[in-house]
Amino acid sequence: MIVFDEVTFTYDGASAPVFGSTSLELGEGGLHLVVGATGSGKSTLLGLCNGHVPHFTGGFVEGKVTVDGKSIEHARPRDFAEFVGMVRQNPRSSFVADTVAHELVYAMENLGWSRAAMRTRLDEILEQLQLGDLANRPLNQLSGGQAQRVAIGAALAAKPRLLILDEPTSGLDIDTAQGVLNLLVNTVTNDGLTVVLSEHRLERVVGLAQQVVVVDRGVVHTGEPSTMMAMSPVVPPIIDLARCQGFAPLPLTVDAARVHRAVLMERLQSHQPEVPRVQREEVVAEVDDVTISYLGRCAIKNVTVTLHRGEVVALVGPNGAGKSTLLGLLSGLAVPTSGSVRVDGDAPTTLRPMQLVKRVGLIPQDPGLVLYGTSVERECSEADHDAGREPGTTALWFRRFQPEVDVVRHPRDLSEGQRLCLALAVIMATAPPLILLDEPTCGLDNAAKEHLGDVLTGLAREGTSVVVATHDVEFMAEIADRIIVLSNGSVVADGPARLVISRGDAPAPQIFELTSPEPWLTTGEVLAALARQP
Amino acid sequence: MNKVPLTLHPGAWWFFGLGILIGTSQVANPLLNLVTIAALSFVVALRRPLGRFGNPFVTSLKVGVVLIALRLLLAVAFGARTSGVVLVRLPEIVLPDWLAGVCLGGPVTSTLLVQAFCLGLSLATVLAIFGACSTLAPPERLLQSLPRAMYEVGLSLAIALAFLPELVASAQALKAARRLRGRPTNGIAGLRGTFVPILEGALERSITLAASMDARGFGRTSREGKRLIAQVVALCGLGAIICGGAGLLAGASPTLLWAVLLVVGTVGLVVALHLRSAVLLRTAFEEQVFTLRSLMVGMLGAFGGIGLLVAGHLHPGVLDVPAPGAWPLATPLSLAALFGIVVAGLVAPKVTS
Repeated sequence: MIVFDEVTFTYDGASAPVFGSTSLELGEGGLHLVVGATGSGKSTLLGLCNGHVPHFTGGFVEGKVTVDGKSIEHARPRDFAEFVGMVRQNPRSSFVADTVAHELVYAMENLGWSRAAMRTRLDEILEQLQLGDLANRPLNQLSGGQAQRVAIGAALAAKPRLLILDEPTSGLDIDTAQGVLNLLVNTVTNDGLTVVLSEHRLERVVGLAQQVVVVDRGVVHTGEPSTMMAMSPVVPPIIDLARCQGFAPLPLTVDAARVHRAVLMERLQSHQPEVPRVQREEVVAEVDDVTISYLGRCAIKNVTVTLHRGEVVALVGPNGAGKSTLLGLLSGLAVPTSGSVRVDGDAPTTLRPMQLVKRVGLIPQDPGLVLYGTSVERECSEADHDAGREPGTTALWFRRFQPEVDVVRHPRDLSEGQRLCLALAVIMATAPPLILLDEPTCGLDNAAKEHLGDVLTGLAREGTSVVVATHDVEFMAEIADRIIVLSNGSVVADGPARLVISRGDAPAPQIFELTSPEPWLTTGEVLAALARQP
Repeated sequence: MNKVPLTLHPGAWWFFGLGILIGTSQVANPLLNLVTIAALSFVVALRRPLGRFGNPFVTSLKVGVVLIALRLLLAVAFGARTSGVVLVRLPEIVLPDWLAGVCLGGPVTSTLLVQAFCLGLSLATVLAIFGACSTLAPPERLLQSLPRAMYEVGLSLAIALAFLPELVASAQALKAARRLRGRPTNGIAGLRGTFVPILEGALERSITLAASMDARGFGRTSREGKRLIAQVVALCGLGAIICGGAGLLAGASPTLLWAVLLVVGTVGLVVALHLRSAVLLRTAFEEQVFTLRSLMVGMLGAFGGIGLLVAGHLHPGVLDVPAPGAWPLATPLSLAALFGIVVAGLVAPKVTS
């Protein structure tokens, strides 16, 4: 189906190839998972499968990529349209039409389907993706999960035999992501479709894959999931634990790991997870009985939250539960309809921008939005200037977060993780007592996530209050001292992380699923406890 | 079974708008203009496709108000001296000889203000007609109903149109982000430094869009060779039309030659369009039929416009700015013509969403 024959790919102007002399063959049927760190070339590999790379990105291909017997050298993506369906990151940016129905039929129109055939197929797709009542909905009114389903539907509409997806569940909450993945698995089993997908949150998909492709520092390996997971540079927490403990055969899911539970729990019997003490004394921000209604709908209602110096708070809940609104409220971007907000003593909406940033810093989901400089260096000096700090303050923060980044690089050319750290350094220039992050782990690989976790907990231990809105259960488990669960605009649970998770109010991380009812949350704390054993 | 909602041909509303425009462009009577705007508001409220692309009609009304204010301001500052009740006497500035005919300041009379208001209002009415049309039938929908061979042209226009709300959205996001960095969000200082990121974002989005369209088979053709022929024929046709048209307009002899060139060029263009659609694979999902209702809506617009002109012919002065000191008047015929707008709204099918 897809054959790479001694392929070396180099982007224009790059000194080293993304990957060198790679040979690989993906057969018909099944779900193939592409795994690798950020910037390892996963997207490049996927893009080569319909000629998107190099026709739209530039770059030089040595060797031969053959898809459906056609070489991508001469054929353009449009020539593969009836064979390959492509879903790229961020579905909204790939929409070409105005309503769901028009978006879904677009490929069929281009390929010259008859009107009757289009109508039949449209009904099939609407039913298969559970989009029936949305057919005439404008695309800009879809929720995240709906938008992702429409993008998948649009790629599937012209009945391709191969579907390629680049991180289809990033940005989706747990239930929605699970829905999208189940749908893909159903299509694979029912329609005999071949699916190739890349994903950062491996815990969601690795148990479903038939074959895994690992892209690691310019080398591509293919094989069975368990053999590949044994060597992969990125693995989900349960596999990490299993690898460290030498479980054999390597379990890919929590269920598979349960056979080892009894032994593990016995060894952990006399231990407690080490919990850092957080002094909840000094109040940094207070949200008092706030309701925001917008066009007759409550974005959040009667929310009361108090934030203390030095704690890391995870804000969780499904898409649209009001997480971003609460962050907006704390940062002065959203105005309360009733109730009051105080950050460091003042209502954020009454403060001038300059006063505001000394009290609270917000990093939006796309950190690029707060970066304007043409190089890291200039970004830092501008931030010093904006904040009225001594030259070098921001640069110092950035070096602390990312010691090895070349400061002449353009912020756009940094990796997601590095860009996030730059935005964090810019925000920290004014040394606000409260920092807020909206979905910071979208597009971060495990290593970058771990690094960000260390950076944030480090800041918290020095007295900054950190609030992170996230869908990422494992990240939440790693960093949170306290979890606030939002649902439909209301706070449904608020308390110490371990308590909220063990009561089942917040989604459970993999390690807790294995060890429950004992409250172990992360691989790190389990391994630390085992290491303390005599 | 998914049913495509019963809609008008998007062209119907635009024909309707053009029809009214024929009459309205001649109207300076504020009463008639206000009735026109009121009738349009009624139609928009009744038949607006729900929840899509904002509401350009409201925007056009707002811009209209600004236009009227501007017009009044200009009249006060530079207005010609007219008779009438003097309301305020502004200090007059004597301008040098070479600017004779232009006055600055001086007495502000009621007639001057009424005249300025009426002319401003008629401009605002024209704007409101365009606003109403683009709300009732989004321009991108109109472009979709272009002949198949012109699909690519229509699509590029549609993408350009889709960018405007996109630009506004990214400008708003950037404004919020500037606030997050403690920078001024208003005024010239607020503008600085937002331009480049907005353009960068737009460019990036257009590349993503192009890639997404290509991956779904946009521009797939069946025979490559004929495409080239079609392009050559279209180019020759255009050349012939330009030469013929220029020749005719310049009145150069022999007239027959230019006329023949014009005809040949037109035929060439038609042939090129035909060749082009034969080469494209593309089919359209929605058949947009010009139904009887569409025809009726279009005709009602024309009825309104022509009715106004006839009313003006029968009662000279009814379309004009009322005489100083007099109230604006409307004749039954002129009001009946405008009632056509309301009827069009009632005839048009309700758009379900």
